Amino acid sequence: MAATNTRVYALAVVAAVVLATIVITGLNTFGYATNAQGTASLLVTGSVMLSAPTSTVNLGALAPSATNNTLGGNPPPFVLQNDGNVKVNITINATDLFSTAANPTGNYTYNANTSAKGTCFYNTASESIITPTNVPAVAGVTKFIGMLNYTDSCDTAEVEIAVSVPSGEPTGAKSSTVGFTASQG
Amino acid sequence: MEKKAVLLVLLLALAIVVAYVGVIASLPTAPGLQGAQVSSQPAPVGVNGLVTLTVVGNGA
Repeated sequence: MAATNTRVYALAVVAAVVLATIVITGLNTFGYATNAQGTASLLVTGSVMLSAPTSTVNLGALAPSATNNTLGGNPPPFVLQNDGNVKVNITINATDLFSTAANPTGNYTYNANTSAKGTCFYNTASESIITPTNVPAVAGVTKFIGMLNYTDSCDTAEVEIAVSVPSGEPTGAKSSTVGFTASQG
Repeated sequence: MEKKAVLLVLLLALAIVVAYVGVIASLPTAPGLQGAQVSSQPAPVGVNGLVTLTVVGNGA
């Protein structure tokens, strides 16, 4: 009798497992119990970063009416570099360089130029200022470089500076702080 | 005896199903990437440069 009961219980367990498997398979089939697959996605956001590998232009000692510029590379021009991951437009403004000629003045001009890395921005008159132009005043923020590239192989632009000392300019040290601001192009 | 065996089978099967569903429900879900949908334009950044020179000999 005991052996019969044991056999019955064993058969009951096997039958229960089989029945449960059938039920669970049904649940999975109809989506009530399953391991759902998902999709992970992300969005790489734009980053605007600008640096100036060459941030100082020293035009040396000049007499009144004398001129100097960076066009020949001596002294070297400003170099701006796009360190972000989007193309940028860059504006310029500056404090006065001369006490007798406030910005904008023909005595103090600038223009965007290609760099040692090549032409890395929209080097056209409609997008960038590529011919000598009076440096704007602080309040006269002006876009002058269009769509500077960000890939490391070509992500720089030069800013040429040219000066002509006004005839009545007092002697002494002169300086002008030039602001460059980059925004996503 | 047969009724008892059938009842036992049903109870065991129900217990197995409940346990299976319970385990599945308790598994952690993927955290997802909430908050990654940032589409605003990045803020402008600026750097300063300096132009210097020295005027000499004025009025000499």
